[in-house]
Amino acid sequence: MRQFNYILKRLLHMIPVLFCVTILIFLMIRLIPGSPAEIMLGDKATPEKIAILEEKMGLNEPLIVQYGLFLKQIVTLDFGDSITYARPVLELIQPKIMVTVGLVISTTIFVLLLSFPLGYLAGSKHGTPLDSGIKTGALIVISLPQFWVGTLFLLLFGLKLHWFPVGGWGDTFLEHAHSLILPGLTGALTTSALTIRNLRSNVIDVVNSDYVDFARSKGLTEKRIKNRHIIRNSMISTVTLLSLRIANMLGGSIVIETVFSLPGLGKLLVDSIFARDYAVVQTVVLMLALIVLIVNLITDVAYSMLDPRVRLE
Amino acid sequence: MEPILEVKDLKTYFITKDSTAKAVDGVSFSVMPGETFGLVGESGCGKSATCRSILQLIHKPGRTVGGEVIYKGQNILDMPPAELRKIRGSEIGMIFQEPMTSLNPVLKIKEQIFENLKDKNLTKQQKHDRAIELLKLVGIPTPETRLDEYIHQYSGGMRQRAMIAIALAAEPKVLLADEPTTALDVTIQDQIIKLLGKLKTQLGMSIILITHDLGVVAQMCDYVAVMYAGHIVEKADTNTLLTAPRHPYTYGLIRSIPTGLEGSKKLESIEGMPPDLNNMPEGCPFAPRCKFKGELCTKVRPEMRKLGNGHEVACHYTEKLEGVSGLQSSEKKV
Amino acid sequence: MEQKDNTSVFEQTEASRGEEAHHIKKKKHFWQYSMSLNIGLVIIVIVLIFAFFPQFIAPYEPNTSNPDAIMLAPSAEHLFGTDNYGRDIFSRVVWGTRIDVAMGIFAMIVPLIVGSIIGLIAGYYGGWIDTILMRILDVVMAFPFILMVIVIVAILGSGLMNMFIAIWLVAWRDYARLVRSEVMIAKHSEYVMAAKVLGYSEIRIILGHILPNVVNSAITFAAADIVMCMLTGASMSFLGLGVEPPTPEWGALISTGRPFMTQAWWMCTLPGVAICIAGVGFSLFGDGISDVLRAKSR
Repeated sequence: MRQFNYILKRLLHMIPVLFCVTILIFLMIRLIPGSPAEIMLGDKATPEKIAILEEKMGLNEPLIVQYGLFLKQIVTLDFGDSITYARPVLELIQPKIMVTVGLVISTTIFVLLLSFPLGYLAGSKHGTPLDSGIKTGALIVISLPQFWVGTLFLLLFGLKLHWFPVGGWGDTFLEHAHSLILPGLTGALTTSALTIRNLRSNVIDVVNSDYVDFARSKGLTEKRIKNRHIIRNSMISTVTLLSLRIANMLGGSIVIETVFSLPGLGKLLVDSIFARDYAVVQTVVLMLALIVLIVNLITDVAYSMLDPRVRLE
Repeated sequence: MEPILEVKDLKTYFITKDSTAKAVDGVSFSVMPGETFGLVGESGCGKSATCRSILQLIHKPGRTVGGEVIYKGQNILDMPPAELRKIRGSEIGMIFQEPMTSLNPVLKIKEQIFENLKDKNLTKQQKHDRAIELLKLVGIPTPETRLDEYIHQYSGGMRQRAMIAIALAAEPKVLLADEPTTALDVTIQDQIIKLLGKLKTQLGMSIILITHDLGVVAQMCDYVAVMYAGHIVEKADTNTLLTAPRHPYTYGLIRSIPTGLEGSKKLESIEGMPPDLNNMPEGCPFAPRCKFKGELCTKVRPEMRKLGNGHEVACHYTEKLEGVSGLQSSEKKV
Repeated sequence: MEQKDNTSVFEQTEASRGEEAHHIKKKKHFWQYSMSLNIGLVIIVIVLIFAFFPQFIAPYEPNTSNPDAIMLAPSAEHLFGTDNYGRDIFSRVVWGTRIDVAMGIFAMIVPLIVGSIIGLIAGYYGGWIDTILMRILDVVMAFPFILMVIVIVAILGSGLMNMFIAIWLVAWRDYARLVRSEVMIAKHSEYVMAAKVLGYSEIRIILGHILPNVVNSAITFAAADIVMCMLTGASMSFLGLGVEPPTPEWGALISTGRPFMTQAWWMCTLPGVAICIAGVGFSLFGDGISDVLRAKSR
């Protein structure tokens, strides 16, 4: 019940945030120089034609009316047409959302696979060469540019060894998964390194905590102490860190999709900015913000399940 | 009567690359069944390390390097981990100073009680009933609702009671209580001490009480050992120790507690600081601060001397304190 | 980290908190605190020499093309090989140092100052100022950092200065959040209460009692942030939204080399080595700074 109230509270909290997010996106897109009408007309643009088209697109209306139109677009899921692709934005975006969400999932899986075992290992073997090795490795990985690591992976595992496709997304689910391994790994590196460092220091704190000593004084087995007392408590602040990193992982996907030529939202965004395709830009930005908000909601709920202290506040 | 727990020449050192801190350096004492044994000293004297060494709860770089802890004829320090686990909890339990940090914040109180119930054949209902019984025993009102709560939902005094309940779930024969009242308000301190006293009689267990508070000792302990810089400097039954201390340090400690009877007299305090455990002076560790010190003190470390009636003291010139009184017996109950 | 050496451990309860163990009050020189800091500083000094004096280090002119030396593999003559215009890549990397290092440092400084001030004010005064800040933070945190930077660059147009402005406009949020939460803790601490009871002025309390206690975490964050800013800048150039060619910049160098990945692997790989070295240097420096500040605050 308490859990349910918490989720409800978080959902209600999200509504004004979502509202402000749309205002911010709307204003930012209006600030991009150059008239969409002019770009749509291209070579055929004359001042008269631009004026007529602007009138038709509602660009001469007061800002507040334009914003109303934007909201209406969001509610009706009709985001207008892309100039470059001459297709409805929604239709254009739908398959690309899948790619980006797939990339984020692949990245998250790699983050979990890499960071939890290594972070726990380093923390529980605190002060050993293994610990310093993992710690130093994490520090180096944090300092590496993702686009460069991705390029190296592509050269080595794609071009040289032919283990993975060099680019693209494939047609079947297996091909999708196959082509998301290298990008996911690349995207996971920075976040994994940060998580490893965080988890490591949490484990060190928890292992030395009084409640673990108390648990040990009860005569529990080391396995039980680890499973019931150390792991869960060490993970609490790591979950917060992961939720903060989701936005960065999505941002990173813009770069990674470019590196691996994945047809996702990030790649589309960069292409559309160069093409000044505003309808697409504003929709992609909106989608990315929405994904961040939803994932944050999920991690907040996960956090409240791990830590009972949160629910009461 | 045979002692239930005997500590013999226990040595626990904290060894790092460039120093060795002898936190516990040759401590011996024994605890009788049903007795409350007090271990007194200022913070940093090694009393907590002694207590933790008994259950092998010392963290790196600390290590028990010598001595024996005999429980029912067996040396705990030699036991393989599986044997040691059988001693922990069900034979010797422990409660800590700060319940807020000593109880797991993300597990319900009942889960923490359940995991210390040693009879693995209990049904869910039996476990539940036993947990309620335990909370009642330690004086927690409305135990049914309290079982499902977390430690942060308890108040200060209730937290300490909950920790005692959890430790008692395994029905230990000896309870190590590491400064159980230090983190509490004075009024609640008194309640907890009374509770521990009551439980001791009711359950017939022995308690080893670690404290820096001679008032608590006076109220509760049968027998006391005073620790200073990793050594026990004086052992006696509580009455003797408080009224006729024979070690200058014990004497100093007693003279520094306010009794309300000083009138305009100033309270005495012990000048100086305890020695650095990495760098212990030769001779008596208390010598640099001692008002009674003589020639021998800075050269030879005093051995424990038996004065009769179980009174032992580690001082070369204990005669100097003969006839000097600590507290008047009428002042004892502070 | 966790300087276990030189600790004198008095009692288990204290020793158990490993990192908080008692220290002998011995005066230490700053280089004795942290190995990370020392190695980091050495790397940074080398990188700074490259940044300030590329003309003495680079063997060739960075922008002069040479039709006789197109896409030559790395050799003693051309350490990192040459590109599709016959330019020496090593020389371009050397000349790129100052741009990337400047991106790291200048992109960090303005948000550090502005964000800290905003966080300080909101955290200390609370009330509606704080509520507004928190709502703004809720909204801007919904956007991935680099996404915001990309959109702002799209508004302002590409180029180094516009990229700085874009990062400044976004990066303050992390500092504001961090400093605000630290101030909230410091505000309720006993020393601030004491200062209030003593009737000190607000300015004196903020500057003399709160700021020194929150500045450590802001600086620790900033030291690590240099790397993030540098990598963001390089990523922007890689995407073609930052520094414009033919200016030599590490991210842009990798980007221009990518189409020739199959013929000339060195074009898109070797410039990355420079980013890694500089990045590791600043990361070690950041770690070292946090070690030193932690040791000092004990």
